Order: sequence, then structure tokens, then C-alpha cells
Amino acid sequence: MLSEEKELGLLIERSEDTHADAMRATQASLTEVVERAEERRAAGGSDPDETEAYQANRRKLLTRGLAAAGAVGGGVFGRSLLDMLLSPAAAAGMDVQAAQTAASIENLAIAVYKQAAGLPFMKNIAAPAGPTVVAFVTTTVAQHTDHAKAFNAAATRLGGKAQTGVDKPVFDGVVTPALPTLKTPLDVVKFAAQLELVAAETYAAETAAVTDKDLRNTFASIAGVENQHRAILLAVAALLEAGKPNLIKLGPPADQLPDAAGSVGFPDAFLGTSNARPATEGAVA
Amino acid sequence: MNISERELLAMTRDMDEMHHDTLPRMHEAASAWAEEIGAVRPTRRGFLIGAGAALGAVALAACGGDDKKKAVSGGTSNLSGDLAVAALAAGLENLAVATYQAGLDAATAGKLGAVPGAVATFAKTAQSHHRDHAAAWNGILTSAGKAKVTGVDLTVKSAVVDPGFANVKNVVDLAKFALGLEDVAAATYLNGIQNALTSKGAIQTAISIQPVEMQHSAILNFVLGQEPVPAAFATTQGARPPTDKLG
Repeated sequence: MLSEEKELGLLIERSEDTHADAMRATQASLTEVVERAEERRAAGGSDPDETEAYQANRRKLLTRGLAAAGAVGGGVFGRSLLDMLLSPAAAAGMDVQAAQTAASIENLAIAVYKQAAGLPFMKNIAAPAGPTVVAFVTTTVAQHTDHAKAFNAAATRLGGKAQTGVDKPVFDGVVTPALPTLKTPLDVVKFAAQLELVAAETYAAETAAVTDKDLRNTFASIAGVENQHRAILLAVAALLEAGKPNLIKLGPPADQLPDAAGSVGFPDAFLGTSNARPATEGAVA
Repeated sequence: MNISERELLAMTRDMDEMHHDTLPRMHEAASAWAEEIGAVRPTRRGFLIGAGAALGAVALAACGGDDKKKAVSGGTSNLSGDLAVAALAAGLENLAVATYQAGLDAATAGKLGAVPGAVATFAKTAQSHHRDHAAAWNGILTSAGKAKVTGVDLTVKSAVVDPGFANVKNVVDLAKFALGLEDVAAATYLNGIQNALTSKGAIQTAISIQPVEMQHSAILNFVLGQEPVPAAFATTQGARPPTDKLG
């Protein structure tokens, strides 16, 4: 294991310890919604039926499975699901989890950017690309930090807990397997772009799914910013792949750019949701 | 391993195909919204052509002239709520399509000096996106039994585009001008999500487009030598209201 990976692992471990401590704290002052959420967590996780109702709603929004939804709505079970779906408590509980998951995704992005910036081959990128990338990472980490604060503020306002740990399923399932494969700046930039896509699509999905207006506004105001990060990363990746790192700087000479550089930063006309993470996966406290 | 510009161009074509793959998903979103508002489910063909019939009129509108006669207005006076926002969005998207076309035409005519290929590629791709966005909004309008918006946001055109475009003398001016339009579009969508739209389908449609407009802005800022992601949170500054005149 690389020393950097060990450091990242320690970072995650410390975060999880913090969460474990937080979970032992008294929750007496939390609202009924939060109590329900705590009960779910104490029982080992979210209520499956409630989660399914929420996910059914998300699936409907994400895949437009209207026909299936209509079929479910016709039966007794379907009515039960619908009632659950419409329940303010259920909706608020899921809003809390969505906010907490978003905060944990931001924490993950911060950890990955910081770790990536410390990799030896990232420190030795020649100017002008090197300083440009460093400046981008610095700004992006600051912005993700602001996002984490915003999501944590929303989570606590809704009765949840601020998240200081990372989204562990993404860390385990995506980051950990990828770390050994990151050998060059191009690898890192492409990986960061994928993480930004995950964040952007998750927030886009939640914008349409959550019921709390202020939380929706927060998701909506951040999704586009993550997509901007992705745009710049895709452009930088394209220039690296084209063997033109000398053009990686603010205000590059446009006449020297490859024609295709004009469009690689925005490959899709619409932001999808196929990479969106489940609302419940990152809420660990 | 470095790749050639030809290979990079091929990658871009692949990406372009990918973005067209997203259109069916938008068709589904439009269908969902239509169902929410009790409208007739749109056909895929109807969605895809969307504002297509309007584009000729839009191109004319962008270059000034007697656009009131040549552009057919969907009108907003009979619309309210989410549909009024949809009409506004279609008008703004049509205006973006037309403005990029005007820029491309000016470039072709040699009025902007030397135009790098990357700049032309940006303009054509962004224009294609805006065309798709307009089609999405018009698909929703027609699903609800309303006329599609074939014209542009006349309020923005007369107050911003016409006087501003007259001062575009080179590609830097054009990039700055495009940046202003992209920022207005993104702000309008965010304002719609935060303050106007009520149906989930409408919100989903808007949030699938707003981040793309912000990508356009990021690349323009980068090329202009400005901070590409200037703020941690998108804002509604510059958002247009549904009361804008369309035509």
C-alpha cells in the first residue's frame, strides 16, 4: 500500500471514530422525525419499507417509470407505499439522509483532492500546468468545504447530524479500487472528473426528490458548480491526452488549442442521474 | 501516450453521440411532467423535433430585421406557473441558438478576425445543446396543449443582445458576450427551481439543464483567463422573469 493510501486510510479512520463518538451522544433534543431516524439507525439502518418508498419515488423521478408507479398505486400495498411516500415524517427523514449523504460525498471529495495533490507526480507537473492545477485544486477544495458546511447545516436544521466522515460505500467501492491505478496526472484528473460527475448527478437527483424547499435550493445551487469542476477537469484531461500540457493555464492561446478542446468540457446536453448515489448510503451518524 | 488531434476529435464525436443519448431521458422527463399536469403524453418524435421548426425563424430573429413578422410567437399571456417558466426558458434557449448562429455567421464572413477552430467548435456545440434544451421545453409546452415558443426572449434581445452584439468585433468579445448569455440562462433556471417551479418534472428538467449552462460558462471563463468556477454556489443574479416578452 502506498504511504499516501495509508494516510488517506488514517484520515477515514479518524473520521469514522468521530462519527462513532457522535452516535453515542444523547439525542434527547431531536425532533420526532430525527428520533425515527435514530431508531432506524439503532435498528441497523433505515426502515426498508420507508427507504423503498423513497427510492421508488426517486426511481420514478430518475427513470420516469410512471407506468410501474401507476400499477403499484392500484393495490393495497401500493396505497401503503403511497401513504408512506406522502408522509411528512417519512419525507423529512429521507431529506435528512439526503443532506447527510451529500455532506459525506463532499467530505470524500475533499479528502481525495487533498490526497491526490500530495502524490509525487502531481507535485512535479511543469509550469504552467502545475501551478494551474494547484490553484484549481485549492479553489475546488475550498468550494467543496463550503458545500459540506451547507449540507451539514441543512442536515442539522432538519434534525440530523453533521457529517465529518466520507461516503464509505463510494470510498470502498470506487476510491479504494481506483487508488492503485492512479499513476499519472491524467489518471488523477480523470478520476476527479468522475467523482465530480457523481456529486453533480446525485445533487440533481435530490433537487427533484427532496421535499424541504431550502434543502432543494441548496442542492440546486451546488449541482451546477460540481458540473463546472468536471468541465475544467475534462478540458485539462483532454489537453494532457493531446500532449499539450503547456496550454493548461487560464487564458490559453486559443489559436493553439485543438479544435476539439472547444467541446470536451461539456459532453452532454443534459445532466443525467445514472451516476447518482442513493440518498441513504452516506449517512453514518 | 499522446493522442493525435484526429483521435481527440473522434473522442469528441463520441461524446456528442453520448449527449444525444440523453435526449430520450429528457423525453421521459417531459412525459412525466405532462402526466403531472394532466396533459397528453408527448410522442418521442414530437419531443425530439420540439423547437426544430422554430429554428429558421430564430436564426432570422438573431440578426435583427423584422423579427416580429418572421418569428411565430408561442406567447406567454395565456400561460401561468410552470408553463410560463417553460415558455421563458424556450425563448431564452432560442435566443442563445440564434446568437451563437449570428456569431458563427460573423466569423464565416470574416468580421471577427481570425477565429480559432476551438472557438468555432465551442460555439457549434453549445448551440447544439441550446437547441436540445429548447426542444425539451417546447416538447413540454406542446404536451400541455400549448403552442411551442418559436421566437426568442425579445426583452433580452432588445435590451442586451442587439446592442451588445453590435460591439462584438473579435472572438474575445464574442466569448464575453456568450458568457453573459450563459450566466443569464443558468441564473434563470436556478431561480425557476428555487422560486417558481412546483412540479417535480419541471424541477427535474430545469436541474438537468442548468448545470450544463454552467459548464459552458466555466469553459468560457477558462478561455478568457478568468476564474473558471468563480463561486461555490450558483446564484440567481441576472435571472429573467416569466414576464419577459417573447416573439
